[in-house]
Formats: sequence, structure tokens, C-alpha cells
Amino acid sequence: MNRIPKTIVLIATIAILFLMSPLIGLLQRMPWSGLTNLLGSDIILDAFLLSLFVSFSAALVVFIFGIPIAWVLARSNFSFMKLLRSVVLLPMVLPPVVGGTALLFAFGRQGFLGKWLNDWFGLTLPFTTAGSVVAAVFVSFPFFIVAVESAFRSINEDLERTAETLGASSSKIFLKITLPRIFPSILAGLALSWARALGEFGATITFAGNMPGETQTLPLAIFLALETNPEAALALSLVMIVTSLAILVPFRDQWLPSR
Amino acid sequence: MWLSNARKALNKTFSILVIFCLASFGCSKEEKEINVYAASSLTEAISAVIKNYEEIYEVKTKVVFAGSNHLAAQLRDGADADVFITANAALIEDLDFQEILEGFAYNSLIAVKPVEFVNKIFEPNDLNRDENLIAICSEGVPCGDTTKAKFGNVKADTYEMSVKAVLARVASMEVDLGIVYLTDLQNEPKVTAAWPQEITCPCVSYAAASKGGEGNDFIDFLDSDTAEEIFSKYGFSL
Amino acid sequence: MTMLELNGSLDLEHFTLKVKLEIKKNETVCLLGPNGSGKSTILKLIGGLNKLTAGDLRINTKVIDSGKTFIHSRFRNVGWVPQNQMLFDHLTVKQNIEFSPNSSKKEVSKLIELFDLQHIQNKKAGNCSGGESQRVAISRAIASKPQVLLLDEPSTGLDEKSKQIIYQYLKTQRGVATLLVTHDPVEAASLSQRLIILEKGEITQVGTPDEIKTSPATPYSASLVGLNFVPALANGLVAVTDKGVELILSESIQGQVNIVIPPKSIALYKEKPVGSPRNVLMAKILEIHHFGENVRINLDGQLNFIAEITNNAFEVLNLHKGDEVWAAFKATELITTPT
Repeated sequence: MNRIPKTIVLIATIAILFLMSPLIGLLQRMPWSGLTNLLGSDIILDAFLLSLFVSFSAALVVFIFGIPIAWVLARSNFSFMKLLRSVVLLPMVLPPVVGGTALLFAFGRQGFLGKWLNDWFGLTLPFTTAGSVVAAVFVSFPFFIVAVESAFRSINEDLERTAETLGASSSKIFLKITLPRIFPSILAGLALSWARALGEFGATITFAGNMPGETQTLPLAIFLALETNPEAALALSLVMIVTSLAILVPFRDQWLPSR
Repeated sequence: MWLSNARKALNKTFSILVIFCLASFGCSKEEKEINVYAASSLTEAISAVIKNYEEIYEVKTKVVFAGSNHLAAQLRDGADADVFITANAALIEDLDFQEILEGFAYNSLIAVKPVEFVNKIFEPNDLNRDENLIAICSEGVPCGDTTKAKFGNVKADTYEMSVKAVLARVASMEVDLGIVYLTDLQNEPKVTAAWPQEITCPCVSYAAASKGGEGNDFIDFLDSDTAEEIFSKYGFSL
Repeated sequence: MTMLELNGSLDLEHFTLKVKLEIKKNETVCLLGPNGSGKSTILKLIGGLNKLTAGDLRINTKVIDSGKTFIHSRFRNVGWVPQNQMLFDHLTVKQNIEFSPNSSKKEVSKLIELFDLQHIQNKKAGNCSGGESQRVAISRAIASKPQVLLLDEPSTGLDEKSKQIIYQYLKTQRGVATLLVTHDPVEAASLSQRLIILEKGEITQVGTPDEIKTSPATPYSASLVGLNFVPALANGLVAVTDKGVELILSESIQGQVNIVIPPKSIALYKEKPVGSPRNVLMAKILEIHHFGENVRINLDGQLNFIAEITNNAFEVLNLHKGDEVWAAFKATELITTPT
């Protein structure tokens, strides 16, 4: 291994300390003695299960729709693709609350699409778990697309062309050549967007509302508890940290490109 | 370039301020200033009160509006306020305030619907029906606790963190019914009473606390005729 | 029977590729040319990775690319082996070879044996050496039962064993029209019946290796077969090159000529030789290549040329890169052809 310059080590240490300190603060204030009581409460259990459901559903939706979008973005040369890419990445920079409001304008009962959904199918997304998933999908989409699009781009197109000259169908090429080669990036994208969906707060509370067992995910429960029951908020935060570590750490090798 | 321009502009403003200051008050060297933290449901009323107070007492007032719990949490964590006005008197208990004024104004809750829903006729029982989309304040925040005391178990679809959020839901017609402060009705033309309702309690009772000095003056002023007139004007009960 | 017919052009960034070529059913044709002459592009045209700007391309008399028609790579029945092999790294060697839907189990196992890949058939293609990769890539293309096989620099940078296996296959295989791109004239001459010389997008010469050796059409052709090629203006017994060098000829001739100086006819000296009516030029040694009994020396001076001398002479002269030497050759050794 190369020797790392001392200055680099110093700067990295400062950054790590900075990133660690809120976590330490959280753990330091944690009401360890009353933790079992707090964690056993229905509100926390509901929020935890709901958060798992919402974040994994969002990751699934993002996976299904994200791959085609990323593929189109990576492979089309139309000039409006640049514009399309900015639109797709917009949720990354948009404050989530604004995103939630925008979702209301689209899928809310008075939204231009929501109105139609409501009139024709009697379907309302706000105030339902499906609405929470929609909010989570919206904010986590770009993370998946960025990861997968760059993977699509990194594939040498001659590889696919070679497969074509061998007589393979485009679906065979996609499934046997393209997908396996970007698989690590797909996992990385999934991990990132899942994590983003788990932590989602602003768009969810704005679009889906706050209802225990239905739309009250862990971050919403934490926010509410922060004002009314700070100890419960800390316990909930611990649940979130442990959950995300439990999911992300075992798969670290998969979503971080190996050396 | 822009920096020097900004500095120039600042100097200009400053000199105008000084001239203005000299002309009107003879400018006390030590300008008195107090920090007020106030519940967001009081935004309009307290702003009007402060305007009067500043004129009479020649005290500069900085004010922060937010949910009572949120403000209390900030104060617990070391935020500095001379006056804390809350919709929940219990929040003052574990904070470091000396003088406390309770019940200087009350706010009643009312079930509302979007103005556009003129043709939708609601009755009190609609609050317990599944087919209506209903937004109320979350339990634990003052408007939520009072909603529960007054309306019992409402079949809500979303528990908002603030009464303003409930109001926004009704105003944007995302929900059919919401329970908000009576005072909000006056400020939001897109919202109207869901059915004729009498102004009754249980109500939110406001309390104010101060750390002494100018803060005490402010609290006393909240109890004055001028302030009471303002509170009534904005729809609060006394 | 003609298997492939290409007569068309393609606009490239720096020049237009204009090609007319034919390959017969059992024929191996080599495409030779300097870097950037458009060799690989021709393979891509045939493989369907590029589209003709004008003209047409036929395989087995069927038009596959013209103004009206463009048959997708998938349906062309062409085996393309690109220069960097393009193996499917995540698949095993065997999975690579059997990738084509046209492949048969029997053929695949035959190819694995033929290209000596049995011991690595379950190895991930990404872990193969350069030589192994090239053998896999060629097997994979052949397994797709192509009518035309396209090989892009198949032996560049390979180990000797892989080279031999591939050469062996190309020399014995029958029934597949093969177009092989290379820059190695020895490889070209040993593998193919016909050479096509491509320079800056244009075919400058077509012929058997012998034909090209005896009458190269351009300096590049001449350099391929190891001959020095000098265009000059002759006036009687003297010809002047475009750089003003005077060469003495053995026969009187008038007008523009191509002069070929066989490298073996050039003698080298450390001191200027005196008294003989020969062509004598001063030059600097650029490169020294040893092969077999002889040494080839690239010289740069008033003319760029190659001299070939024996090992003995080389040792006696004690030559080094950068040395200045005198090169002499008899007028009778020059081959002069009017243009």
C-alpha cells in the first residue's frame, strides 16, 4: 500500500471527527435505561415497520423504472436529453418540502393528474401509504439513475455491437451482457436510493401527511417526538441508525466498486 | 466591486437611520431591545401588539414565531428569549422564567371546509366518518391536544405538526374537513366554517413568561386594554 | 464464387474512405495499411457497425448495405473479431464461444479443442491472457457460422503459441471468406493469397505478395516488402529526387520514374569510399533490427532508406544507433520504372 501523506490524513481525520460528532452526541444523550420501554411502544414499532415497507417498495419501483430511464439517458444523443437529465435529477436539489408540494399539485386531489385519478378510479394518493411510497420514489430516483446511467455509459458499446454481429437479439444482449456488467452499480444505486427513501421526511409529510401506521414513517415520528417527547425521538433515531447500518454494511462490498 | 458598493449603501442607510433617530427621539445611547418567542397562531395579533408596544415604550423588539413546542425545545437548548408566549402553559414549567401571565387570550377551535365546497353540506358527525378526508393537529402540540378535548376522537387522515399545515390542507382542498383556530378563519379566505358552530371551550389558553426587566413590561402590556382590543379584533376570546 | 463485394464510400473525419473490393468464398484477403488508413473502418462497415455514405455492399450476392437497404449486424452472418477482442469478461470462455444463437454444441467443443482452450473453458474470460483472449474471440466468431470472417490485427501482441494456433487455423480453414487486417507484411504474405493496400482511405494496390514485392506501387507498398522506393525525375543517366538528391542510373531514361533500391544492394562504410562510379550518400543510423543472418538498418539522410547487410559485415563495421555512415550502391542494382 502506498504511504498516505500526513496532511491528507490530518484533513481526513478532521472530516471524520466532524461526521462522527453528531452521532456521538446522539448516543451520549440516548436514554439507555428506558430504551426497552420506549422501543416496545406501538408507535415506534408501527413507524419502523412502515418505514421498512415504504423504503423497500420505493427501492423496488426505482429499480423497475430507473433502469430504462438510465438506459435512455445514457444511450440517446438527442439534445433534449440534457434537459431531460436535469429534470430527472431535479429532486436531488429541490428542497423535499417543495417536492412534496409539487407532488400535491400533480397527484393531489386537486392536482392535474390526481383529479383524473380521483374521478376515474376513486384513487387518492395523499394520506395513504402509497402516497408515502410515491414521495420516497420521487426523492430517491435520481440517486439510482445517476449511479446506473454512468455505469451504462462506461460500457464499451463495441461489446454490445460484437454481440449483435454474433446474431444475438437485443433482449439477449441486454440481459446477458449489459445488465450483468452494470450489476454492481445497480446495487450501489439501490443502496443509495433505499437509504434516501428511509430518511425521507419533507416530501412525505407535505404530500402524504402524517398518520400513525399509514404514513407516519420513522423520520416523521422522530420529528413529532422531538417536540413532544425528545427521549422517544432519540430512541427512534437509534432505530433508524441501526436499521440503515444493518442493511448497508453487509452489502458494502457490493455497492462500493471493489478494488 | 460589489463589496464596496454594498458598503457604501450600508453607510448611507446608517446615516439616514442616525438622522431619523436624532430627529424623532433624541436617540438614547443605549437602545433597549427584547427578544420575543411567540406561538405561531399569534403571528398577526402579536405583530400588531408589538407595533403598539414599540411606539409607547421605545423598545426595539425582535420576534420569532414558531410552534410552541418547537420554541420550548429551542429555549431548553439555550436559545435566549426575554419573553416566551406559548399556547401551552405547561411548557413554561421547566424553563428559566420568573414572571408568568396565564390566560391573557383564548383561542377556540372550529371545524372548517374549503370555501369552494359550498355544495357539500357537513354535520358534526362527519368528523367520525371514513369517507371524508380530515386533517387535524397532531396530539402533543397545543392545537392537537385541544382538538381532542373539544371534538373527541376524530377519524383523521393526517395529523399535522401545526395548525397552519391543517389550514393549508383545507385551503388547497386536499382534505374535506379540518379543525383550526377560530383566528385562522379570518386570515384565510379560502376556508369557511364547516357548519354553524358556537364559539365554546375547551380552548387553547395562551400564557406568557418573562425573565424580568423590559420583558415584564411587555407581559404587562399583553394585559392592557390596547392589547386586549387587538386580540379581540383578531378573533381571540378574553 | 464471390462471397463479399464492397464498392462504396464512407465520409470519415479527415478523409473519405473509397473502397472497391471482392473476396471469394475460400479466400483469405489481407488488408494492409498504415495506422489511420481506414482498415478497421472497412471491417466495421462489413460488420454493420458503420453505414456506407454511397455505393453498396453485398454478401453472397445479397445487398446488405446501400442507399435503400441496411441489414442489421444481427442478420448479416458476419464474424467480427475486433482488435481488442471484446470478450464478455463476466462469462466463462465456453459461455463466450457458445454465445451466438447459431452455435452448436458439437461445433463449440470442436473449436475449444482446435484452439486449445479445454483447460480454461470454465475460466472467466476476464481472467484470460492476451493470447487466450484472442483465441476465444476467434472461436466465438467462428461458432456463429459466419459467411465472412473479419479479423482485426489478430496477432498483435500475442504469445508465440497463440500465434501459431491462430495461423494454423487460418491456413487450413476452408469455406469462410476471410478479411484480415494487419500491419505486419510477413503475416499478410504467409496467410493470404491476395493483399489489398489501403492508404488514407484509398486502395493503392491489389495483388499477390509476389506482385507487390516485384512492383510496389507506392513508397508504403515498397516499405512493406522491404524495398526502398524513390520517385524521381530522370534526365538521361541521372535522376533527381524531389529533395534534390542525384542518383546515377545505368540506362538512359527521360521523365518521371519510380526507382526501387533493394536493401541488399546497399553497402555501408564508415569512411567515404573513393574512386568508384557509384551512388554514395551520407546517412545517420535510426534503427537496427537483427533477424536471422542479416541486419536491417534504417537510415536517415538525404534519403530515408533501409540497408540490409550480413551479421559479419555489421560486426566488422561496429555500427551503433546514431552513427553516421556512407551508403553506396551500384547503378545497375537500381530498378527504374517510368510512371
